[in-house]
Amino acid sequence: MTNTSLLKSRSVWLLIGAILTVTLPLWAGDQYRLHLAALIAVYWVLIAGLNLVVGYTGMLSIGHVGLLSIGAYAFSILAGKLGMDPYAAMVIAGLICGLCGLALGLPSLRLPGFYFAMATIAFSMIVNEIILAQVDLTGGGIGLPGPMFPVPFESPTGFYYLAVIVAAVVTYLTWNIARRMWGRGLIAIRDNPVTAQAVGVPMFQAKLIVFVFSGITAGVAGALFASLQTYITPDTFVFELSMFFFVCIIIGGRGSIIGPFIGTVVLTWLPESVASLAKLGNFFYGLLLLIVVLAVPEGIGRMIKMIYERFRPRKVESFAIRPDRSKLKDALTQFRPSHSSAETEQSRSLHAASVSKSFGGIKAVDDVSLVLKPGQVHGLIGPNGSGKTTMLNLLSGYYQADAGSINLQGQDLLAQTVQERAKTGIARTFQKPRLLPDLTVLENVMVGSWLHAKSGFVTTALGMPSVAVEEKAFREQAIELLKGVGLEAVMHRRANLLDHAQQRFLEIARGLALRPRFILLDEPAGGLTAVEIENLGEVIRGISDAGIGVLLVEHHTDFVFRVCDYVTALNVGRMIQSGSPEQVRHDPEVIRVYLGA
Amino acid sequence: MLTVLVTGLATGMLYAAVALVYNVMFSTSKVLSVTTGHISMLGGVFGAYFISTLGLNWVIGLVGAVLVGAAFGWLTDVLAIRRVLARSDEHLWLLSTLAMATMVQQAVGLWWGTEPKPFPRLIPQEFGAGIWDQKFWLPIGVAVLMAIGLDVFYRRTMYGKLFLAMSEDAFAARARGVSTDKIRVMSYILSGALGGLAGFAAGQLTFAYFALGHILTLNGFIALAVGGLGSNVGAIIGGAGLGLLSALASYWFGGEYQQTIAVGLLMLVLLLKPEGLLGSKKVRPV
Repeated sequence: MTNTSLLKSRSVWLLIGAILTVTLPLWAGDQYRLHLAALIAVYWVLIAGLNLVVGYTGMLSIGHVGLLSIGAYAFSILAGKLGMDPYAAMVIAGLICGLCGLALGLPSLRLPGFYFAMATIAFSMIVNEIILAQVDLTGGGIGLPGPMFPVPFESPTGFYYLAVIVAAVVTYLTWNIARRMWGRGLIAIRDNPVTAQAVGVPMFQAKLIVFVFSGITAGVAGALFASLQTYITPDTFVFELSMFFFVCIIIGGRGSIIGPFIGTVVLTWLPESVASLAKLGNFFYGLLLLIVVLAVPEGIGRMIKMIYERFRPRKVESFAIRPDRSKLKDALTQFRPSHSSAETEQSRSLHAASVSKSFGGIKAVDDVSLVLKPGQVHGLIGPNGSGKTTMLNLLSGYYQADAGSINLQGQDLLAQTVQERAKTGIARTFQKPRLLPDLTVLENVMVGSWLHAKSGFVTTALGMPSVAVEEKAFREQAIELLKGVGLEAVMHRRANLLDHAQQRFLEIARGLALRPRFILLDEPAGGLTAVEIENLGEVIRGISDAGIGVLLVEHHTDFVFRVCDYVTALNVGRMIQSGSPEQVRHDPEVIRVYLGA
Repeated sequence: MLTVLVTGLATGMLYAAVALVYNVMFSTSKVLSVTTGHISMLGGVFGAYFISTLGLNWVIGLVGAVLVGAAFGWLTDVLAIRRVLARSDEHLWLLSTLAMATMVQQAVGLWWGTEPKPFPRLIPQEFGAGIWDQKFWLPIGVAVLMAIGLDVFYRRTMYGKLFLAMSEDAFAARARGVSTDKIRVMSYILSGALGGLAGFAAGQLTFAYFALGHILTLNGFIALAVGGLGSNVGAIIGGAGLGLLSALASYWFGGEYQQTIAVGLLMLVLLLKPEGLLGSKKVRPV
């Protein structure tokens, strides 16, 4: 089995790495190399946290040196000047930096990428300014001594082990985040914010939590850094260092932990052993960054993966998607949200009444009403520009309606965000499939269950047993759904390797992983062959068998009239007819504006 | 007090000029380049090099500084923009221009030295001229001329109109037969020349200093974001406001918290009016 031997080889590597790390003081030779190894461990504490921000969530923070220096100064002041216990001081330094991360993140995380990057650079400059100005506290330009840790961590060897222990703990925390639902949610924010919204990821909160976490690790790293350097001045925390952290992650590759780790080791060690590189300093980092961005934007992490896949090619067989209507129905009913018997079909329906939306002077949707019933397939047809997709965006919350009302179970959805509507039970797909290209098919479906994950950031990071239990359930559900839509054969393949039809079916499976009451499909048959459209019909019937309401926006009218129970026809934003497929098909107005004679 | 205001205004107008340079590049490529401030740094350093070190006439020095700026603008496009824009990934241009900026700063530091060096007097003038000193009115005059010049360029010339067309809708411009790649390269060369000019004009105020680029990139961006991205009048207002505020703040509270106050201004404006004072609201791209 490829899977187990892969697992074996990975644990073998891990064991070798652990042995090398633990025995390092024995074979390192001189004190300087030991110092360098401890420095790598200290940097890694910060970079591991920053990796979740930069590598996973895609936020370009270039100002973490500011947080490192706050941590270092807080530790030196608390443990040195005030004589506090060094371990307590280290924890407090971490907490202070977490608060600073919060203060920096709150105003700046909503800003677009470049604005955020500038805000983080500005933050590091401000920190330097304040440290220089607060002479009484920080010693100004003269600096402060960095306190030592007590026995047994006071010697160089002892300190090395302390740094390694902290680094190992931080790595474990970030690894837990990366491989669970949180990691997938963060990658969704990075690669496709629209998808992240659709599956219900609260983007701002998630970014803020991760950023605060990276602040805490930067603070702890700062404390260790101050102790290792034995003396700190504002000149210790040059902008160059921020560049270094950032470049380690970019070179290592986004969405990987081992890649940035290798980046950290190599980039710390290389300038120290090659004197000419040390002189070039920042120029070297800049050059590396430029080369990586131009030549391998995916970083070393991805390159290793690609080489690995080259030597162990997985058999890629072409196959036909064979959805199974009854399996899909079973998968869906198994996880269906329960509803009390007191609820009538009326109250479980989605009511949109007199909804309107204008863009400038154009009325894209004008006084449209429709009712989606559980288990019913509702078709929405009309010529291009008639407002079908706009209507779908209004129902799913990507647009806010100007007038009208949208109700589900007596709840008014009109003011709700996309995420809140997802929580109410509205899933959707997009005209052009929006998948997460770096994740596997299975992971793409699992991210659809985000809203049902109960484990928070801390629980996940600590690796509580409940997280694994939950994760297993999501995995099983995703596999069942993939069997239902007929994609189980490719579930371990990366999503960007799928063909168009497979992507469409995968997106539907992701929508269903939300366990929705209604699913809105935006032109799902676009670009499919006749056979694939037949398969799509199977999937849609399976969904409706399970009691989920379907809104189908589609141009293939034959298909619509065949699978739908009810059809609404729009033209230039107005409803021109709605009723049974037969009724709409023979309506003279619908024939005139859309179907043709 | 008057000297404080004039110093603030002159510094502010340098920021405004950098903000204008941002706008020229942004109009054709939708890129905010981290190298923007470094272009002006090059203008100052090479101006001092040509005039003081090589002993050339200041007019030749000026032309040289502008040419160096233009060449760097062109290089930015070739190395950091062209290939990256083809991939259309949002974060990549930020990384590639950051890499360029870091490299040029370090290279100048190694070659020119890390100490600020004085910039020569351009026009014979007594040092006791006070607020009428050329080190104040040169950057102010150049920034105003740049803003007026760009306005005339955009309104009156064919190329200016092509810039506007690209900034409005690059795809539509391309469909109309505009060679968008050529126009973008031109805009980078133009922005390089303007940045070099601004750095040269402000040389006596800032000195020829390798680390200036970083400071100008940040403060020019603050001027731009406060005034509103894409608006040249906004850039002038934002720059002047930022310069005056920093000068007054250091006059009253001492110079230690200059950057903190500048960033405070930016955050305040972004919280109250995210699109800046004169910027246009963007439609949400879903």
